[in-house]
Parts: sequence; C-alpha cells; structure tokens
Amino acid sequence: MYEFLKALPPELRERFEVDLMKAELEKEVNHLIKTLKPGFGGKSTSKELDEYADEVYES
Amino acid sequence: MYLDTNIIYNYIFETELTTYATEALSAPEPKIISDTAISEAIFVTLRKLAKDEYEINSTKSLREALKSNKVPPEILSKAYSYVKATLAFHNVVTIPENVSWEDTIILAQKYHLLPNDARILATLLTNGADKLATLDKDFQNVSGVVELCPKSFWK
Repeated sequence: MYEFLKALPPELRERFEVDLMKAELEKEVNHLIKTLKPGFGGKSTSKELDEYADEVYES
Repeated sequence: MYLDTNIIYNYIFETELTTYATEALSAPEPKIISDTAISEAIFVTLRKLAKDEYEINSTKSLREALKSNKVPPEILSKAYSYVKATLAFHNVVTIPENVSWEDTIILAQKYHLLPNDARILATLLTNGADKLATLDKDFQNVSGVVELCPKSFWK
C-alpha cells in the first residue's frame, strides 16, 4: 500500500509504518462513528458474549 | 458512572440486553471506563468476530489461527475500532487504574468477586464514582456500596 516505505532504511521505515497504522486505526474509528447505532456489530445473545468474557479467565 | 465490559459488548452486538446497554451509554452524566473493562471488551468483540467470520470456536483456536494467519491480523484492528468507536461516540473517558492489587484482592474477598470485577470496583471507588453500569449479576453484592445502573435492569 505504501510502496515508498520500501526505499527507507529499516529503522525509519518501522517508525513510519507504526504511524501509518495508527492513522489507519483512527480513520477506521472515525468512519464507524459516522454511522454508529446499537447492534452495529451484528446479532448475538448475551449468553454467547458472556461465555466469551468468561474465557478471559480460562485462557 | 463507570461502564462495565458487558455494557460495551451488548451495545456493539444486538442482544436481548442491547436496550439496557444503550440506556446506560446514553445517560447524560459523565461516563468513565478503564483498561480492565476495555481489554475485556476488545477480547469479547474479537472472539465474536472470529466466530462469525472464520468459525473459530475457542480461544485456543483463535490464538493458533492468528499465529498461522488463518485469521488475518486486521481482525484485531476491527475489534479495537468497534470498542473505541463505541466509547468515543458516547464521550466515555478512560481513567487510569491507580489501584493496588492488595486493595483489589481485599474487595474481591469482601464482595465475592473475580479479580477483574474487583479491580473495576476498586478503580471506580478510587476515582470517586458512585454508579456502576453493569448487566452482570455478580455485582449484586455491591449494591450497598455503589448504585447499580441502568435502573430498568436492576429494579
């Protein structure tokens, strides 16, 4: 995606890559906020989600 | 008002408790959260996305699938973005967890809580919050210490 990064020394490239990834994350969040509504992630049950939360202790 | 993990994931995903989660997130008062609840919310969201999109059925399988690239790493940013967008949209402020593990364990023993739940309670009390928005009945024992919300759920 960012071809120009390949031309940079590894240390500098890594720093740019982290900054670019952070910018991408921020862009993704801002995009979601524009259309955010309850249940935007899809359907589930509280039982299913609680089971996943319990896995925090089991993993 | 401190927001527990289940408020976040029952808002992101449509469940029979989404109305309660929406009620808590839409409350006009200042809303706070901390890293323990955020970390759990990201994990639950990640686990659910991995199940729906890649049929991953356990944490162990998820760990292996991430390691072998069977699940692309972008799923992590997706899970994070879902949680972060929910918090930002509702003006939820992340507060530091300046609590000791000793205080956490004492609260866990006193109110019969698991460590993460006790850490949430310790953080909430240390920061002077007097309300806990949660849909977790494990917190029933602390109703004398903090006000449990949303009211419609706890009535």
